Amino acid sequence: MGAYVAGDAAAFRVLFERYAPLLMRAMLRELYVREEASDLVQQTFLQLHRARLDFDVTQKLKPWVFTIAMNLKREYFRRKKRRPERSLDAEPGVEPAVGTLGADRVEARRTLARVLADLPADQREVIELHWFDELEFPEVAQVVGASVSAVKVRAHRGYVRLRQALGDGVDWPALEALGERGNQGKARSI
Amino acid sequence: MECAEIRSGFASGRVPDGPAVSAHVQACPHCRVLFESDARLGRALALGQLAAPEPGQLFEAVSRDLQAETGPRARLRSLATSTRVMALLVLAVTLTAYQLLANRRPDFASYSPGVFWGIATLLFAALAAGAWKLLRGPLTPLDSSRAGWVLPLWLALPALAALLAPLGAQAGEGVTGWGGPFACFGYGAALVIPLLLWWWLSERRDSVPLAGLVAAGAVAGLAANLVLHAHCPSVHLGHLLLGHASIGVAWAVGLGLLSGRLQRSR
Repeated sequence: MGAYVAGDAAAFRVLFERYAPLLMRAMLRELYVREEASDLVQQTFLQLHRARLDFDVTQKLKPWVFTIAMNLKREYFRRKKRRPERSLDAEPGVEPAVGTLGADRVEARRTLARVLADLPADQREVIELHWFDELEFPEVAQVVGASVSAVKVRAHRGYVRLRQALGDGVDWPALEALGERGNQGKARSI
Repeated sequence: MECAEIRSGFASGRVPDGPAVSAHVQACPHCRVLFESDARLGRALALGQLAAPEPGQLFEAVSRDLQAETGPRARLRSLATSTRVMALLVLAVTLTAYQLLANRRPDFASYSPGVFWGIATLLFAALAAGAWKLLRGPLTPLDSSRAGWVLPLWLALPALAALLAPLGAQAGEGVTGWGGPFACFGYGAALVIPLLLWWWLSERRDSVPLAGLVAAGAVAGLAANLVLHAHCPSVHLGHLLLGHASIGVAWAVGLGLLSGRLQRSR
């Protein structure tokens, strides 16, 4: 971003290749119409371009980009006067990460997605930013404009609600298997 | 740090945090479990999400957008937010200074300087904060852009100034009757048109949400009240509310209606 702010137009392509897939995924989580998600990602990059002189090159870029994107998404839903939607089925052309798993695990994934959608927005937001968009808690705090400890509290309350909502209605062994699979590839703080 | 402190933290919905907690958790297998169960659930959620999709032809579309970003308005929009805010504030201060130098309120000499500058500072501080938030647009963190009380506060602040204004007037000075509120309303509302024009030209969003339009109206209202505070000697509450404080609300409603009509006509 520093190179782009300094006038290196080619640096924009690097930024786009790094962030466009992440932003598309973040948009598709609630929109799941590819054209609408693409439109919001396009707007995010346009805003990034217009606001480039506001970026502090000593700071991390990812939380800054996600702040813009999440605000545009929320404005979009307000304008459409509708709540975010959740797709329990994969968008055509977009395969879920657990697509090769068995039916019980796919069902566990769907159950998780359903209960996650029912969380209060502030709790769901921090969990999604941390686990789905791979932002560390200090970065999540920057995006939402709260303290790190407040963000951790929200996430923890979200986990508690998730467990309560899942109750007996989920195949825990399958869920555990998903979690264990993640243990191999991901080591993230709570 | 002891296990009991960590457990009571979790029980009260407050996640224990800090170097002492980290050191304890590293050494204590019982407490580590408390943190790990959250992490396990998080990992399960993360694995259930969609893979990052390829953006397809999006780069070409974004490149076209960037190539179209030429001309004076594109340059204004690309200025740093601090520069755009400063320009808006300089405009407001210039209008106010003009009133003070050439068109000041007739009771200025007898009006309490403490109250005068107190009200002016209050309005200016709110104007600066409002302009900053308005012109930052989507760079505003989610929590503060969701704070529903900020906009009503900005809109209501001129009414608070109207309540404070009589405190500065000497007995027998100032206009205590209605004194033509509609003239003040028209004058103040018209004077801030250059500010609104600056905002519109330097606004980065192509489609401003309703909250943004209301914020623009509130900012215009604060600037109008600052200018009128330097010009109008009335301390009549009805005059101040109807002729001064209502300007921000009127601009907010006007901008909202104008935007709605434009969107329908598209």
